[in-house]
Amino acid sequence: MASVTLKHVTKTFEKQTVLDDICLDITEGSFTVLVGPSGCGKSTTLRIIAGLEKETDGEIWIGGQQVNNTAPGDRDIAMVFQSYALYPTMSVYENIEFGLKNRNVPRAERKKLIDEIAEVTGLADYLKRKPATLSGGQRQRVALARAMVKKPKVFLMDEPLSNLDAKLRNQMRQELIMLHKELGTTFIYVTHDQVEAMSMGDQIVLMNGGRIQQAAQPLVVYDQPSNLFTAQFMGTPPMNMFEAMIDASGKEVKIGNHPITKPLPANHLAALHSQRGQRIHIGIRPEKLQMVSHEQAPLSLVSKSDGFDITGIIDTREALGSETIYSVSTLYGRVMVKSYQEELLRVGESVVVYFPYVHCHYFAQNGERIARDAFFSTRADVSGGV
Amino acid sequence: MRAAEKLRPYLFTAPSMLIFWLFFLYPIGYMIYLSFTSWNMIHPVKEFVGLENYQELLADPDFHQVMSNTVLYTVLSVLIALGLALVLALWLNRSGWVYSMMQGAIFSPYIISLVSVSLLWLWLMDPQYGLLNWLLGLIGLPPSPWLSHNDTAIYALVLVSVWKMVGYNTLVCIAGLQSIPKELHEAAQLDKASVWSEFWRITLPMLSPTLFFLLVVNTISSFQVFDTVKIMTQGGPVNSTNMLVYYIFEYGFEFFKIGYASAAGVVLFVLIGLMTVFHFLILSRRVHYR
Ligand SMILES: Nc1ncnc2c1ncn2[C@@H]1O[C@H](COP(=O)(O)OP(=O)(O)O)[C@@H](O)[C@H]1O
Ligand SMILES: [Mg+2]
Repeated sequence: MASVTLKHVTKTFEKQTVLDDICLDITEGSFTVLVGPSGCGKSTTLRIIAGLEKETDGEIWIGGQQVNNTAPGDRDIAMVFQSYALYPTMSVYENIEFGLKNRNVPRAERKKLIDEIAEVTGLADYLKRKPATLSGGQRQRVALARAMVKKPKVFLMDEPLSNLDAKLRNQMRQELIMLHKELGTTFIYVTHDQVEAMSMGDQIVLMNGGRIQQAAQPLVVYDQPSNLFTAQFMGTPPMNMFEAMIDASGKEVKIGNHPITKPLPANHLAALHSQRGQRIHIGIRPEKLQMVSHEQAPLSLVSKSDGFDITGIIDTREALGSETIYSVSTLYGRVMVKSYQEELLRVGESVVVYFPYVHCHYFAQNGERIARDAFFSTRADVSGGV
Repeated sequence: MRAAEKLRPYLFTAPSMLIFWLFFLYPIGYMIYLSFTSWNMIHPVKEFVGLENYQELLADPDFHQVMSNTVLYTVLSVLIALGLALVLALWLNRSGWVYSMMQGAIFSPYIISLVSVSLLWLWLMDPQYGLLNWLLGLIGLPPSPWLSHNDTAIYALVLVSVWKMVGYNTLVCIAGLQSIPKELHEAAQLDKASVWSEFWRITLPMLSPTLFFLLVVNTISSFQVFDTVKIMTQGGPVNSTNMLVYYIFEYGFEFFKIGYASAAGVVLFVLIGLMTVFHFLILSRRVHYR
């Protein structure tokens, strides 16, 4: 167990800045997920922690020790690669043994450790096999066993599940969460999959373009995204985002050219006061919108005072079983609605979409979140996978 | 209609089958036939003599020497050319213009015609005016007789062969090294492998298909050495550099004993066939293929 700290870490490849001033605190024993779109620098960050890549600038600390000049083999870490990187010419046993041998662990003890690990990972029957004769899931386990047997202080994993099929991936996800609980070791896990990030991490570090966008617990990232990018990266479909204009008085809000049907409540207007006369972005998650067919709208209970609404026509419908995703064209533009209603609405149907104020997010012109009073029920201390 | 359907695959393969029969099977068959005859290439009758040519061949002390020369030459050339290539590949397998230039430089002998190479080395190895002896003199060593003494001549030929082959081998080895996934080396680093154990446990096993390929190709081509012998030594001094293909050439086209030369040709053919089978059956079990 050890904490990992990056201080102002920068990395450039031939003048291309890949990591820009990364500052990151990873607490001892946490399950931290680095997530972000492809090419944002997640792997590079992980590889710098491992020592496989040399940082251009900045400090790397593992367990209270600066390791900038420590060889990867001496950093007390283990890494699971996306490709697993099993040694193809060695048997499963030898693969697991290699790291121990190089650390001069005596033969008898090696055997004991490997037998233990093989039992835990369910590889006992495969120890003599070559990696090429194993299935994807089994190779994954060998990679894990090879990492675990060294009893590292920090586990690094770079998209370890992305080569597995969906079912196996779900299963391994659960197993990794369990494993983390049992070992209590610090896990740093890289993925581009936001669902994996939400479900596994107790801290999410969201990256884009070589910068950290937000580092927080999963539900904080989801409920209080710190900027436009974060808001739209997490969640499927992504958060609806509308360009809006606040008039000089700070009272009236227009989305596009259309004033919203009911004025925002006073506390929202207060928070937006500094943005008078400026453009902002209003965001709302698809599952927070409520939608009824036009005929039922007046009768519906949702058309109460705590929200505004817009009429529209359903363009497309994806019925996924447990939920249904509608794309609705409105005067505000395209609106994605995720509904859990049993009764489906038809494509082409005229509908009213309600925007509850309580679920509206505001972002300034520069993309930064505009904070307002602690309004959200704080789900923050609930963390993924725990 | 049906007949045409049946005929089609044969028609498609006909051109390559024709070439195969005409230029491969027919000459081999003809050579085997000739090896049972006595013929001087001019006489209208090829007299059938049974196994007489083979008996004569196996009893000829010159042939024994030729065989041991060929084996010595092949083993030395292949081992040195491969070992040196591996070392060079490990050294030159990095980016940067210096390394690219070095790679180009050691590859260049490979594209020069063997005849020119032979003439060049003949001159370099000249006992009196050659550059090599001048260099030896510079560092205070006694001059070497090179090609002109039966103790050293075959090693001089090995030197030329290594010089010619090592560039190609190195380039193929570099390609082999580059096809080893980078993550394997990284995983080894994380496993705290020493440079030594990384080489023995990862690099070398992963490179084994490449080395095996080179071993087969080099062995076969060394076994058939001819140009350098013909131009540089004509098999001498005192038969010390006479090797199988040159021996066949001499009997066939200088002594016109076609039947006898064919018998030696059959021996060469069988040996190379056996070597190939041996390589693939026995050695390939110890080689890792992905
Ligand atoms: N060895 C390298 N040389 C040059 N550019 C690299 C190298 N490794 C990564 N990059 C670049 O750095 C950026 C981030 O890469 P990476 O960390 O692998 O992204 P991610 O893992 O988030 O997909 C990419 O634009 C990639 O092209
Ligand atoms: Mg990556």
